[in-house]
Amino acid sequence: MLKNMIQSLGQVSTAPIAEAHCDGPCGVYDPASVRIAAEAAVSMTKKILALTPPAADDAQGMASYLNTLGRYVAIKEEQAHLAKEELLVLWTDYFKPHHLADYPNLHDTFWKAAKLCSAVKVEVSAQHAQELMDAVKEIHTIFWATKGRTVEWYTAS
Amino acid sequence: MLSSKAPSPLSVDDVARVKETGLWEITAFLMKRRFRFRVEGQSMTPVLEPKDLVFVRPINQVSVGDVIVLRHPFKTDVTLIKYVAFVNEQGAVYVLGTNLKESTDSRTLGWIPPKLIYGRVQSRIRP
Repeated sequence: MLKNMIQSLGQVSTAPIAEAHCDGPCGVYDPASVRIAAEAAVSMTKKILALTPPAADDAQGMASYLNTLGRYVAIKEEQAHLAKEELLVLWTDYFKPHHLADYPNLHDTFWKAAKLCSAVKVEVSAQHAQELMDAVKEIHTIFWATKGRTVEWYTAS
Repeated sequence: MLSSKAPSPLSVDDVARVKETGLWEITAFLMKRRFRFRVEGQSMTPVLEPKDLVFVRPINQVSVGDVIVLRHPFKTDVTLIKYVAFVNEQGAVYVLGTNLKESTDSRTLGWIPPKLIYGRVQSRIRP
């Protein structure tokens, strides 16, 4: 009878939650999410640099130009920020202190990559855009090495 | 306070057994000598399973192998349940999950100061 009462208590009792799980989506991490966002920001940087403004007296052309430029800038801002957020998730949630033994420059690598996201967001710099992709590639290589896997680097464009 | 070398995980057999709740624990709970919490997540399996109800004795001096309930050091509204893998000279604890693949613990959170420990798990009810 006592056992049944205790069992009933276990089923109906409302109690505060003590969490026994992980912060992230239970071990599902992939630097591809960083690469896709960074690549989009880099693509927008290139498109902005390739835009040619119309003649000053071409009102329709100017409207179209400003509209396109505005869209490119907005997407570049959004995707560069997303790339930074995805980097921070990998940095703070996936990587553990013991990874530093094998990759002592890990913190510096992530810090510089995050800074490059900011640079790509603020500037229209083909050089910083390329440096961002190089940094993301380096993180891709480190990440898969920590999992003991060889995953080939690729880009969508 | 971070150690340069992380303590090693214990085997599940070395984590203090959480016994089934009996009359004494229920009495202690009714006398407000125990907190109760509902377990959510898989990081403490097989010692504790999701939906287990646990009774916690409010102490902050714990030993290696104890299963404890603690406040998340960076999210004040989150309560965690882990086991103690190491206690340092200052009384701070290094906590781990028994299911390491599903656990966010001191490997990420660092050493837990004793003031964040709610208490030690005394018993459980598995629904």
